[in-house]
Amino acid sequence: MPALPQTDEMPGILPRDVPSGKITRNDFFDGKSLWGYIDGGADLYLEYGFSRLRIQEISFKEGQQIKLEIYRMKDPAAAYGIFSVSRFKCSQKDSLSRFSCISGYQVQAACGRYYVSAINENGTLQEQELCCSLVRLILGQIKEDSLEFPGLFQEKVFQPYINELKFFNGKLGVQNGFPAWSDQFDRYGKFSMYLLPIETPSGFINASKIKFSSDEDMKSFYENAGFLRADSALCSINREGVLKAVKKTAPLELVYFESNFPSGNLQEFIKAID
Amino acid sequence: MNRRKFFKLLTLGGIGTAFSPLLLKNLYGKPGLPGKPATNISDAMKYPRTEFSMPGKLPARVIQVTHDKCILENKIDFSAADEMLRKGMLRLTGAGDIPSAWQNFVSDKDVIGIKVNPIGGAQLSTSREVVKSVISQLEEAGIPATNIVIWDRRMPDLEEAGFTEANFPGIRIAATEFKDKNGSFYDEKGKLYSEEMMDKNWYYWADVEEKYDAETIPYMTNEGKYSYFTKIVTQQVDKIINIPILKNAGASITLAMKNLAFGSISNTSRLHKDLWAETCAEVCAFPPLRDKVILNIADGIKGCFQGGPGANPQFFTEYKTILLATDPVALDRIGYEIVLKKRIEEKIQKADYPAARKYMDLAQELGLGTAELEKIKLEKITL
Repeated sequence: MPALPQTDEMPGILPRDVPSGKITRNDFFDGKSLWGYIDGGADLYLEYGFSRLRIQEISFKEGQQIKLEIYRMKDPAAAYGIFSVSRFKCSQKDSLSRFSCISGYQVQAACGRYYVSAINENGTLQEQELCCSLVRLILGQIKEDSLEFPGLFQEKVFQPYINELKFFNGKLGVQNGFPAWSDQFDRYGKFSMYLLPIETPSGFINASKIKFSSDEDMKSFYENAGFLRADSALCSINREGVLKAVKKTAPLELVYFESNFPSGNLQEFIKAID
Repeated sequence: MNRRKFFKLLTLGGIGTAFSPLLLKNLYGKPGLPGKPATNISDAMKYPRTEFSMPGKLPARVIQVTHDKCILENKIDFSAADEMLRKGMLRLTGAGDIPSAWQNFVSDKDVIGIKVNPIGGAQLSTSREVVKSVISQLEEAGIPATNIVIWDRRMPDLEEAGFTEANFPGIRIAATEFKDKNGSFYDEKGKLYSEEMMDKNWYYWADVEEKYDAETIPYMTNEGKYSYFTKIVTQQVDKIINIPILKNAGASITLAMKNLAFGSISNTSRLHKDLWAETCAEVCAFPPLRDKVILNIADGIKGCFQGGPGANPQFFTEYKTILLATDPVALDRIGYEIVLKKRIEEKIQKADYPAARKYMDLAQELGLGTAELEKIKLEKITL
C-alpha cells in the first residue's frame, strides 16, 4: 500500500502500483485553472468548492487506457455532491467504499474530501476491473471520514431510497442533478440543499433540507412555494393533487417536501419530517 | 472585394464612419436584459449584414441523417459517416453531385476554418471520422488541403482529441492557446503566446469580471471586462464550417452556438455564471462569426445526455445522427429536441424546461436564425 499522503499531497498511482502499465500523464490543476481542463464543465466543481485535481493516465501492456481523475473538494459534502449528480445506472453501488458506483465505462467514488473517477475506453470487463483496482488503490490512501447525512435522512422511512440522495451547493447542481427544480432555485445566489427524490408506483416524494444564505431568499422561497411565512411548525398546502409541506428548522434552514402520494401513504414520511 | 480584405479594411477603419472600429468604443451605458449585466451587443448590430450572414443561405432548414451502423463497439465507421454527410449535403443543397453541393458555400480561393469541439478528449469530442469526411469532400470539390485549417481554442485539447498533423496530413491545426516545445504558455519575454493571437479590434464587452491567479491566466489570456476574438476567426480564415458534438449542458445543450461563441473569444469563465445564454447568442452576432460561418454540421453519432459538457461515460449515448444546416439556431433547436427526448427517456427530467432554450430565443431576436420548432423545416434521411 502506498504511503498515506501528506496534507498538501494528492493521492495517486505510483509506477510500482501498475507493474503491467505505464503512467503516461500526471497533471495537476488548482483552483480556477480547472477551466483549462474542462472549460465550462469546471463551473459545477467550482460551485461545490474545488481545491485540486490530479489527472493520471495509465497505459497497460495489453492496450487498455485508463484515465484517473482525483478531485479534492473543499469538504466531504462537496465531494459527495459531485458524486451524487454524476452517478447513473450503477451496476454495483457502494461496493468499493461507502459511496461508489461501478458502470461499464466508469468507476466513481466519494471518500472524505475526494471524488475519484476512473474511465476506460471500451467498457470491457477487464477494463472495468482495472478501473476498480485503481480506484481501490486511491481510496486506500485516503484516511478521511466521509459525509454524514443530516438526521432527517437517517430516518428509517428514507433508508430504502437513501442511495439516491443528492447534495447541491447552488443552482448549477440543481440544473445538473434535478432540473425539475431549476425554475424554483435559479433565482437564488447561494444555498445548499440535500434532496431525496423518491419514485414509486404510487407516486413521487421529493424531500429536501435547504439552507439559504439570507432571510430574503428564504422568504422568497416560501412565497414562491405558496406559503405565507416561515414557521417552525409544519405547514402544508395541497394544490392540484400535490401536497407541499415546509418547516423552518433553524434561522436560515428549512425542510421542504412535495408529493402526489395518496394521503394515507404519506403519514410515515410526514412523521419523519415533523 | 473578398472577405479577407473586407475584414482587413474594417480593422483599419477604411470603409467609412458607419463601419469604423471607433464605433466599438461604445454604448456601455446600455442596460443589459432585466437583471443581467450590460454587454456591447449593440455594437454588433451596427454592421450591415452580408449574403453570408447567419442564418445563411437556407434559413430554418435542418437535415437530419441517421445511420444505424455508423458506430459499432464504440468505433465510428468512416465510410458510414462519409455517406451520411454526402446524403445530407445533397439534400441540403439540392445539388446533383458532391462538388457542386460544397461549392454552394466555398471556393478554392477561400481559407476554410473547421471549428471542432475537442474539450471532451478522445471519448467525447467532435469525431475525427466526421471531420475527415468533410475534408475529403472539400477536396473533391477542389479545395486544396493547404486552404483548410482545423481549429479550436486550446492546442492540448485538439491533440488529446486526435486533431494532430499526424492524423490529418497536410492540414494545418491551429489554436488560440498553445504551449511551446518546453511546455510553456509564455515566450522568452514572459508574454503569453495566446495574447498575440487576440485581435483587440474585435471584442465582446460585458459588465462582469473575474480575477485570475497565475495558474488560471494562461487559459483565459486576459482578465477584465473584455473578451477578445481570436485572430483565427478575424484574420486567418475566410469561412468557417462549424462541427460541434451533440452534448447536453445541464438541461440545455452545447452545440453550434456555444461551440462558436465560447471557442472564439478570450476571458470566458466570467461569462458562464450570469451570461451563459447571452454569450452563446451575442458573440455569434459579431461579424467575424456572423458573416463567416457558412455551414453547421452537428456530430451526433456519439454524444451525451447528461454530465455534459464534461465527458462522463455513463451518460454517453449513440444518437447515430448528423444534423446539417446553415442556420445555427435551427440546428441547435433540433439538437435540443434530440437531447431532451433522451433525457426524458432516461428519466433525467420529465418535461421541456423552456429556460434551457433561452439562448436560442435570444439568437432568434438577434436575427441569427430560427428557434421556433414549428417554423423549422426538418427533413430526415434514414440510411
